[in-house]
Amino acid sequence: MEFALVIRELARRKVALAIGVLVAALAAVLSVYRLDGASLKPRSLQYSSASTRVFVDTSSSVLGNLSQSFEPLQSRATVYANFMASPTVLNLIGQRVGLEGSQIYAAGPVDPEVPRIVQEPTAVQRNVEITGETTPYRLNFNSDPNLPTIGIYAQAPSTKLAIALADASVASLEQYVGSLEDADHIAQQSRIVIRQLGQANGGVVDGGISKALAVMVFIAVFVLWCVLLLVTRRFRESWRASGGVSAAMDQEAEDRDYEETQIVLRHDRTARETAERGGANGKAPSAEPVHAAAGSAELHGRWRASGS
Amino acid sequence: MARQRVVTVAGAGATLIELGASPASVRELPKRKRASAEGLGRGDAQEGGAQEASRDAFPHTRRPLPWMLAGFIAMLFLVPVDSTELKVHMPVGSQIDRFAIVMMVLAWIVLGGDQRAFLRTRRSKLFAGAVCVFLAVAIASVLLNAGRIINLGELELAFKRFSLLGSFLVLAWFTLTALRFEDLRGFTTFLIGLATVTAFGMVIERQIGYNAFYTWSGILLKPIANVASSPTNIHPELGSDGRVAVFGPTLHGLAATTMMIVVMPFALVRILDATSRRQWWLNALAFTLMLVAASSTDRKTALLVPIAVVIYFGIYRPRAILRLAPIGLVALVGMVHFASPGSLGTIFTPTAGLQSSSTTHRLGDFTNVAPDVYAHPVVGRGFGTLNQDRPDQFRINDDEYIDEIWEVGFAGLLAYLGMILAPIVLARRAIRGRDPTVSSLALASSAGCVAFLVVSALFDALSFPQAPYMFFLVAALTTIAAAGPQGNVRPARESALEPARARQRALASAPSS
Repeated sequence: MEFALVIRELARRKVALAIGVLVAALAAVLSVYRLDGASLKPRSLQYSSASTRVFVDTSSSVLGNLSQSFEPLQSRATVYANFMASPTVLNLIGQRVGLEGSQIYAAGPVDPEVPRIVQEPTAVQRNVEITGETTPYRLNFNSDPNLPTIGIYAQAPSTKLAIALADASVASLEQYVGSLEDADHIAQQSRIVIRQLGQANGGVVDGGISKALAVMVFIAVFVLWCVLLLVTRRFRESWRASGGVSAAMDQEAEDRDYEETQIVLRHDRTARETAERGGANGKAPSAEPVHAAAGSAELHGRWRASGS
Repeated sequence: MARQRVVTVAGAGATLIELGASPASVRELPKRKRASAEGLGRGDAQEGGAQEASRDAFPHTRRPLPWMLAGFIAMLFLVPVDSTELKVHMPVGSQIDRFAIVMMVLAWIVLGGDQRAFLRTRRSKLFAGAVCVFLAVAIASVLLNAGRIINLGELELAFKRFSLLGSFLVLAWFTLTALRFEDLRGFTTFLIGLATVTAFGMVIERQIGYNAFYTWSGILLKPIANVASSPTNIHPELGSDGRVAVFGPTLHGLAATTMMIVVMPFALVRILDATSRRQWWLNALAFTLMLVAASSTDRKTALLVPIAVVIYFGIYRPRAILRLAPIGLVALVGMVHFASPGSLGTIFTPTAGLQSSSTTHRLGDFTNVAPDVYAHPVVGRGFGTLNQDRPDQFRINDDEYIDEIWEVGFAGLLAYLGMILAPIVLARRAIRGRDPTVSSLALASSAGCVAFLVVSALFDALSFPQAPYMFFLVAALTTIAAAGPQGNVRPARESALEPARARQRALASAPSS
């Protein structure tokens, strides 16, 4: 019933509601489009992600060789995963997908065995993270301490770009490690081989987010508008009522003032009469009541002038 | 004659300001005054109404909503709500409290929820207004940062936090609409009773490591819910930070401590107002048990917040507190030491207090979130976007105020503070008023809000649902208490039915006459 009363109250204010609908619609449009001069351009709210996995291996694969241990490769995978987030590798990745390395934000793996307090970022680390928060091209590299593999997770405005970023990460790692091996003339059998475990695949993560956001903004702004209407009306009523009460209180104060003036005047008149009678009886009249009466008369005049 | 009437209106206007009357009643005032003078006033009717209301007060009432509220609060005190997931999937989390909140809303709709009206009541709208402002800022913080939040994949997390915030707000709204002023006495007795039972369970947990809340909830709710195993650990060398892990029906000792501390003022005010020795002893026992239970978690909060509450009491009732202080202090220290050995030592140990890892971590709280604050100073980075499962990006702050600046900016911090301070401010007049019942209830419930105000500076209070649930409950109780019996209004549904009932009565009486 209370809710129904509120709806009825709002329904009586059709013009204000119509304005509210317009304001909410404008806010909803601006939440998914941005002003570019005189035209509207869509904001890039939708994003896609893609993932792939690489296996850090040797030229004669450890998968089929019992004499070789996985352990040195596991720690190497962790090192590579961290190394892939460096500007050097990011520049290589950027070149492959047509971006600057600085346009890509990347984060390496977090050691789960490190205590939380150590993992928490310091202010300086947080500064760097904040600068990357709005970057649409993002890469995340994970490594399992028990496996010689690196998980690559890419995010971009389109699925094609996200897949390209993930695949480019593998190719760039391979290129960089290979160039180092070539530079140091590492023998073929001692070289590290980066094997991609299948092509990257991905898809749109938040399809329809623009519509959902627009609807949310519209509802939020419209509800806020309705609340404002109700609050404004209540406040106006209270203001008017308080004005009436305030006027009545002022009136009461003036009445009290008037009554006091009357009392003073009566008192002065009595005093004057007493003084006159005293004078007639041969006593000296006192000047005080006359002075008081003059003051009171002045006060009385002011009260009348104040326009009651 | 005309002048005399104006004076009457002014005098009655002042009375109305006191009662917080609506403008409509101001316009009707002279008529009412005249009616009152002619013996047709509401005096008798009000007296009769008050008697009827007290007969229908909780726990003697048959109104279902107060009982539903009591059931929910009992669940909070006895069931580990954040560790109990129903075997039914719900879009905003399957925790049992969310389900209970949905049930309460449905009951409110089906059973005629406006037993007590929300908008037309003479109760202050200060708290409700402050909550609306906080909610508006929280929504704005997400909408204004939507692009970045979506890019970081944090929107779903924000939705979940909003659903949790919604649960807290529903509890406050439900309390405001379900309870009358006359229900408060019984309801606060119920609260003290529940807190005492929980405190007793926590003391046992500290002594023998048996968490009855988790164990019994697991057994009783097995057909419908999965309850996580108890995280209790009473061996300090194995517990984190060298402190025992006594959690009661919560996921953290701090949440359990907060539950105890928020209810403590209700027992304390009854000690001060006790009219019989029995009443004094019972409430003193309840108070002590709650303090013992809070201390048994080895948290410094258990010591600091009760001190703040006692200081708050001291502002309004200095003599009573000073009279009680010496004996109270000695008895409490003795009881806490006896029932929860070692807890006082842990709390007072300098290494635990000033050099512990939690204190060291606390010192870096603001410094390390400063970049985020400077990046989004007004509305923060978005309500509910701090992902605690990403320690490499988000630190856990031991201060809700810092979290608020981080999430909803300085605007949000002010709104959050306003939300906590609103009930404290509106209780002031009621506490200083002449009605002792109103005064005591307003003092106790607003002291609960003071406890939450302090608690928010000591840990991330919104992270554990029990703490904010308790705050929103006591804030609503403060609003009801501060308005006194005048805050009760006739339900809109009953008012709407009244003409039809009158017609029926007239028809029924017609043949007999």
